[in-house]
Amino acid sequence: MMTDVIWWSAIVLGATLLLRGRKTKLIRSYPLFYGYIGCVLAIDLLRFVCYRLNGDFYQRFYWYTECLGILASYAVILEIYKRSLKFRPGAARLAQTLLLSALFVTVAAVAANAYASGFRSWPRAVADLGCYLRYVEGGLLVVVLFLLGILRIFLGRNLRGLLTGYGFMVGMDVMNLALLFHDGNKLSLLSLLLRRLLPVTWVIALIIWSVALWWPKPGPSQPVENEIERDHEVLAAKTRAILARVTNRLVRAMRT
Amino acid sequence: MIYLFPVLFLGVLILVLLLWLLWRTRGQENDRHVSIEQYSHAQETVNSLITGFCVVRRMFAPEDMEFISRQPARELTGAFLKERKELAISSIRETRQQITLLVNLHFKLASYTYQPSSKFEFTLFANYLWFIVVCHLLVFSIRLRGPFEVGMMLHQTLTAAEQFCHAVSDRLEKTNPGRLSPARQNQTA
Repeated sequence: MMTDVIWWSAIVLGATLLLRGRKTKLIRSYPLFYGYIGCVLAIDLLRFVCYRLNGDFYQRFYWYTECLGILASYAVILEIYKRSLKFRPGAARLAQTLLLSALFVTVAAVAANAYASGFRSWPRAVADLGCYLRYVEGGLLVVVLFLLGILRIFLGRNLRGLLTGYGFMVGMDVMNLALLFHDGNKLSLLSLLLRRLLPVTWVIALIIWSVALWWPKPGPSQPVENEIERDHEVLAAKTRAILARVTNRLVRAMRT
Repeated sequence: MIYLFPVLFLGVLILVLLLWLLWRTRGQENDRHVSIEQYSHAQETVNSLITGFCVVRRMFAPEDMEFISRQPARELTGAFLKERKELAISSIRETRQQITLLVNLHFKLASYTYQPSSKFEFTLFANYLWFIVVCHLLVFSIRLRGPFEVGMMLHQTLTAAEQFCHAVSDRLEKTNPGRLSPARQNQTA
């Protein structure tokens, strides 16, 4: 019963987030994030249908779709880097190269590992990919959180909410992964608790995102700088125009 | 078990950093720009701090104590020691507060530059944390041993403070004042 409530709340929240994003046009500002939400929503619905129709196929289908979900989740960290470094093109380019390299290295390492074991288990390879990509995401999040905190870069309500929900989800997931394979009696109890909390974590992240992205708010930008520069340019243009007019009149006066 | 702790640490670190970021960027909507007034005030603070360090050093110099201790009135030594101790503590606290304000401004101004050096900012932040710890230790030592027995620690603190002043001064020089927000806007925000 409780599982159903969590599952349906996640679907309703995800759909609301998507519809709201479309209405407020935030979907254009954060396409990768909304793509991720749409992907998770579609996967959830397809899994549900598959589970009802063919239970045997569901297991295989689960792992195929899991791979897609993991890759889509990585896109969110790309979005976070892209948006927070929007006005630092050099740093943004470097970060993008690093992020894509990290993704490539992780996928290559998992593929090499699967190749070495003779491609015996697709679910195992996907589970490994998910696990390693989460660690990579965790490491990248630590870097971005630290940099944003140190430099006090203005994030805006939307990006701050996106980062909060994602950070909370990844942090909990990484802790869960750490405890998942541990056999110690005391820790396995904690692991069990975290495992049960994980779906709730996803719902909490969705709530955070829904609240933060309900209204579009100004994101990382330099409005004052641009405004001042524009004002300065306007002032300079006006001064040039006045000077030209005065010079013109002076020349005319001298001629007469 | 070896596998468990680094990963668990990573998870906890993410959550802690997230809370730290939320705390650090609270009220950012109203306080994201550095005003011309703040910029001018920072320049004045840097100048006054740099020129004031020799006064602070003089305050901790043992010559005054040697002179007072040569006087016949014994109660004078105690009163002088008490007064100098309070003065030294207040001076260290004031320096710490001013450095905190300057370092905060320095990091705010970092977001005005297009290519901030992450390595430099990280080192500066680590030094700042160390400076705060040393300041607290210095105050504790002054309370415990008096202001004339903390020469080495004082030297370290003031050297660190001077480094911060130079770093902030350098950033102030490289900041274009034309890009700062007007003072009136910052006050009304």
